[in-house]
Amino acid sequence: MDEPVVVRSLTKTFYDESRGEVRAVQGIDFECRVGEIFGLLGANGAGKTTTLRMLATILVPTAGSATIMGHDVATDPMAVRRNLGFYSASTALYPRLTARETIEFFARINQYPSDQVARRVDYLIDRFGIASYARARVDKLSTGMKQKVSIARTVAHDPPLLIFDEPTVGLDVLNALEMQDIIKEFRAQGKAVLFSTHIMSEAEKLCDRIAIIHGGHILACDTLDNLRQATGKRYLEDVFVHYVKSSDE
Amino acid sequence: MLQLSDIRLLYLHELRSALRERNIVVNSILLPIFLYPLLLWLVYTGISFVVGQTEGFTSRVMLKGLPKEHQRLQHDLKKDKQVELTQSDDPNSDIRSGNLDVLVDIVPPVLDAASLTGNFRVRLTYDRSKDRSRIARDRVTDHLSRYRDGYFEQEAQKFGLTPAQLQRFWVETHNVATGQQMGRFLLGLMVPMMLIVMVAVGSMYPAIDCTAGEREKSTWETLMTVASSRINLVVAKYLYVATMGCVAGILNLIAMTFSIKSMLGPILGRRVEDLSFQIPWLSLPLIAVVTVLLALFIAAGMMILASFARTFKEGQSMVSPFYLAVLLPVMFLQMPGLELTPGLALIPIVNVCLVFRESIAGIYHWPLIGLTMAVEVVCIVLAMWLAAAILRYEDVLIGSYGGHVGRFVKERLIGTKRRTGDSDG
Amino acid sequence: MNWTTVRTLLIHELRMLARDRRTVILSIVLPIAVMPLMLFGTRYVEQRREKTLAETVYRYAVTGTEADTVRALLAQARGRLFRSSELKEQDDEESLAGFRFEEVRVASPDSSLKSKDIHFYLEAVNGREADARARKADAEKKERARRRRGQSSDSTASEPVRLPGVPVVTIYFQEDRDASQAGLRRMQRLLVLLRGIERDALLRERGFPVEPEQVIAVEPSSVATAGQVTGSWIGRFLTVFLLTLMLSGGSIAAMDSVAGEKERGSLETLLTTAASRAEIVAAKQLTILFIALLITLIQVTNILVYLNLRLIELPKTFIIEAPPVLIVTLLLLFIPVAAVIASALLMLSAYAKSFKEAQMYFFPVYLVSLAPALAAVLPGVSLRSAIAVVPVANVSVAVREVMVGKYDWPMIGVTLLVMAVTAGWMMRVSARMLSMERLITASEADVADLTGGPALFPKHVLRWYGVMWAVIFAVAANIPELATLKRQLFFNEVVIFLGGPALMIWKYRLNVREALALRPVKPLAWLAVLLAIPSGLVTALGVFRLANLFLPVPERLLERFGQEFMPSDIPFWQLLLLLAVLPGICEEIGFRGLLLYGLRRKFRPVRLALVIGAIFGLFHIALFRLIPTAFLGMTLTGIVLLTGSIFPSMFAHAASNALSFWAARQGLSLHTLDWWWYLATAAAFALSFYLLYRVRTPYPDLRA
Repeated sequence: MDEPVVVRSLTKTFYDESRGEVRAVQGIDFECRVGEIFGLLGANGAGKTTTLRMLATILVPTAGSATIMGHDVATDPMAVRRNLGFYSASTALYPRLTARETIEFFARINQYPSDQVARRVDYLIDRFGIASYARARVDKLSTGMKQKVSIARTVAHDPPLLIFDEPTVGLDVLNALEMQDIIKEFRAQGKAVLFSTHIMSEAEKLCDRIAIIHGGHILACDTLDNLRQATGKRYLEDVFVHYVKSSDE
Repeated sequence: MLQLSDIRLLYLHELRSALRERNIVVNSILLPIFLYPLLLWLVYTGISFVVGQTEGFTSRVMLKGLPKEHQRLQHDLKKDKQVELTQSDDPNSDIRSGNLDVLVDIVPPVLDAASLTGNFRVRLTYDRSKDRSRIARDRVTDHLSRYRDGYFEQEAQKFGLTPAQLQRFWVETHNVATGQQMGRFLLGLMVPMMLIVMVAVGSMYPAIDCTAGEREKSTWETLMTVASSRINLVVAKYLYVATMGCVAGILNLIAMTFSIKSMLGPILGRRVEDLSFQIPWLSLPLIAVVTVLLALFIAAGMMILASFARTFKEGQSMVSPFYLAVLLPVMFLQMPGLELTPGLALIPIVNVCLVFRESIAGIYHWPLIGLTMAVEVVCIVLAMWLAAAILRYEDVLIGSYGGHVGRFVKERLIGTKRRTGDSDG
Repeated sequence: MNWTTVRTLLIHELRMLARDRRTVILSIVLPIAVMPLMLFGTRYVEQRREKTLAETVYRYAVTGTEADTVRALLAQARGRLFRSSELKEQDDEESLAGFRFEEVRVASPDSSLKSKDIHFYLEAVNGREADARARKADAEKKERARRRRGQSSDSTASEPVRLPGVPVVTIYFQEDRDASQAGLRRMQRLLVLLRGIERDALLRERGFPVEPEQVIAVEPSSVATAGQVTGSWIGRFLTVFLLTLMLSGGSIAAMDSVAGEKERGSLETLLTTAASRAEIVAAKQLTILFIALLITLIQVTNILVYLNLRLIELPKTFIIEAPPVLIVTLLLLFIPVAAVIASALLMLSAYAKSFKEAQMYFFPVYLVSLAPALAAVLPGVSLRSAIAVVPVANVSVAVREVMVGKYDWPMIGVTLLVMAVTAGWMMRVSARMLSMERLITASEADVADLTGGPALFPKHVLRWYGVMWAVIFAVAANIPELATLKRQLFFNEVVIFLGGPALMIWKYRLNVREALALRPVKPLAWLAVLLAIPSGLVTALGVFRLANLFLPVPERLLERFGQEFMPSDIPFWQLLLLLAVLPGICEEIGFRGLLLYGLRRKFRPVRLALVIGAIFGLFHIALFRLIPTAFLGMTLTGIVLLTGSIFPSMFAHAASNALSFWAARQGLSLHTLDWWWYLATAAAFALSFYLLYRVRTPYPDLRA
């Protein structure tokens, strides 16, 4: 069977009136396997978010291909979306829905079997400890509560692939740690997790394999240990700087 | 307490950021200036289009049963390029279906009218629900009445009556109002309403933007931490909103006096050339002062309402009722003949509207103008007092109060549930 | 399209909207509450005014040589009540029955009128004096006409004229006083009435055999029923009215639905779900449609209630006939309108990046949608014409025809088809917008904004031209000193079209050679341009004639225009300089220079030429010049795009203008050629462009 995520020479070019062509992603390759946390590590503007947005079918690739659970993002976006959960700091919730309605809405809209929706919602409410505020409107919830509802809606339809775009941005330490635990738990459940961050420690702790992305190129893609060996550096931070510097020269 | 240098700095800061905000520039500056040229163009274009359409019609006319001695009528109609004489087997249904415009059916006169030799009666059949048919009827009626006049005079002469005798006397009208008076009269009908509308439109966006908008962008908190007392902040914002209102109003007044002549041109036709649209010089300072008072009042009202909102959108829905309340009384004052009376001078906004109108016409009822200003000042003071009362509550000031104005007034200003400003949001 | 998904989304949208309490109040409750207030207010004030005017005793004075005759005439009227058959009053006229008037003896009627002591005064003079005055007035009129050369008087032959020797009664009044005007209207009608009564008496005295009214009596009778007349009146405005309601109602849902979601960030969430763009757009469209229809329904009911409560009064002849087939047809016609409106609003919302931005676009969209709905107001437009393929305008005309009982089913079918296609196309555009990265993702800071200079110019160029347009317009309308041909031309060409670009070049530090496309041209291209000039001119006139079939131009307007631009007192060489060379240089620098440079990356070449042509046309202000000048503008833009240089277009512009003036001088009427002429020149024109294309040196740096 194919890997859940296969990316081949994926490219994205924007057109801007005053700047002309902008190459955000320039032909990258990687794959993400079942039960693996794959990390995209890069500075702001490196092309992480653009890449993940292409995988989530929000953006259409300019060239190259990407398949998710065997479906091509360009030709069969519907099937792709049924198979993934996308979470990012910028994907917000509907303020006027309650927590329960939110999860239920996303389960239904993602075509989770309708006779099982209620059971799934109950399970998620229970799993993420939302029960006490499940009937409150989202705009009344605190940041931590919103985060839990947001994760619950991401996995509402139980997708095999999860994409987290800088999920811990703006969270406090406790919430960030909880997020990391949840991500690990998803790996344990056998889901493929694609994850982007610019925080080195997070990548070190979580990722099975790391791709260092800079200026729209992937500079290196391997396990942490292999990266350390290849560069001879101990800390991921130094590894990262090593690659970025050598590419800029 | 109040520090003028701080207020000045804050005020300029607000103005500068406003001039960089597209929405505010559009609503407070561009709209008042360009609305009129644009409307003007639309009206002019529309009218030339309609004229072109109407002129282009040829009227299909069917003439039936015309006696020999009246052949000249047919000749007249034939000469008219816009009339086409046709025949039809079933004129009535052709008129209904729009294939014929009018049927001119010559029938014998009613009994006692037959004693005049050669007299006849005309039955005009047309379709009132069709423009083309109506135009055709008008054209044919024109021809007929000219023909009839000639015939009538000719017959009357046989009884020793000259056409001049038949005309008896001629009625003419003469307007003694000068072009300037007429111009001011017309300005007075339109300008006050637009001035008030524009002051309201011009202050609305700034009022919301500098309160609810700042909260949305979270710059409100940044501003609360600067080393200036909060009263300075509020005064600076208030002055800024009032300024934008004034600017919109005055710009509109200027644009309006400039383009009114061309705007009325297509409606009044040639007459407009004799009109002079010039506001008396003495009125300008008066209008300016009253506009400032009006802007101060509207700004205060809008800001009080908007300060309860947390997002721009919320701010809009809170301010809208006030906006309508300002515009409503003005809307039905748009008729001539209404004069500033002591009773009307007591009603805010309405009194301003009438002061504008009269001062444009060059009429100054100073006691009533004084009363009007006093009423406006009282309104401003009341609004200030309300604002001060509201600002005593910290939760409103820092934006954590969750309710709206109605609830606030009910619970805290009148009600018994007086609490100090601990947050309940 | 999966309808379960659409349903889930639809319910979701509606639920969220219903929970937005403030929006609900603002959009539904407030208008319902405000409307009666407004109606009551206006009605109360209007009634009070009418009452005051009716109760006023109008004071007047009488002067002149025949004053006593008028006094006697009026004294006779004061005593008697007029029979309604004598009055023949129209519905909308103030009744003469309650007209009370009272003469005041004053020393100087003129000053009494000015000091408001009297409402008006009458001056009666005998025939001889009236003749003398008429001669004087005539001479003055001729003198005035001589001074204002070229403007003919408007008097038409059908108006009755005073015969020599007939006495004159003049009513002096002040039009800027409401009561004076009201008095005038009544007195004028009274005098005319009395005159008629006197004349009849005179005729009877001399033995004239019949009542004057029965000499060639005209009896108009209309085949239309009262219901049809009312229908034609309502039909004119119904579409505009409902469209306004739909637009304002739908906008409430639309602004929030995409733009609002973008702002809150929930759109991105929605886009990663298994709902397709088409499904999302369909659900949102249906939501807007539903809300638009709901609010329209509420408002219409609201109005019907006030009609029933007689808060709105209708004329007595107002008879509304509403057979079921009419109502069904109207529904059939208006639901697609609502769908198009909903799609347009959705498009707007999808285009805007935030709620505020969406609001800003609303007003222009509102105006643009309203314009076609006014088609029914135009006289004589039939659905069996090109209008049937113009969305919204076709419904507006169809509604009017249906309202007078004309059901043109095949054309109604075409109308519905056109509307359905329009709505569908707009929905597709909206769906595509949801895939446009510029519009869905928060844009990163634009480098241009940081550096300024040339990079910023493309963003600002349209604003500059907007200002230039308004300035030209405002100046032409308001400053009479510039009304002469020479001055106006000088101002427009030199100050605006040369000064504006100069200012832009300075402000944005543009490279003059690049901005104005000052580049050498291949000799062969010149040859092609030479061919394009005469053929393009005649083709443009053909286009104008074609357009004239749809938008007839008043002939008087054309004549006046010709006179203005063909003054006989300027030598031909000067005219050539003013009307050909000057525009050739200045307008080309303005439009094919700076405007083209600024917009070059905004549109792809073909659209670029269309846009610049359209803007060029708009700058010529008068409607009938829009289409031919826009055509000329497109041609010239095409030349610049294919040669990469402004020189050929300058030459072509100047030569084309010169050619048309020369032709007009020679009395060659290019407007009335046979159609095959236009076809032949169009072919030559196409050939010239083909040649240009073959030897092209493309304008650099265009959008691919």
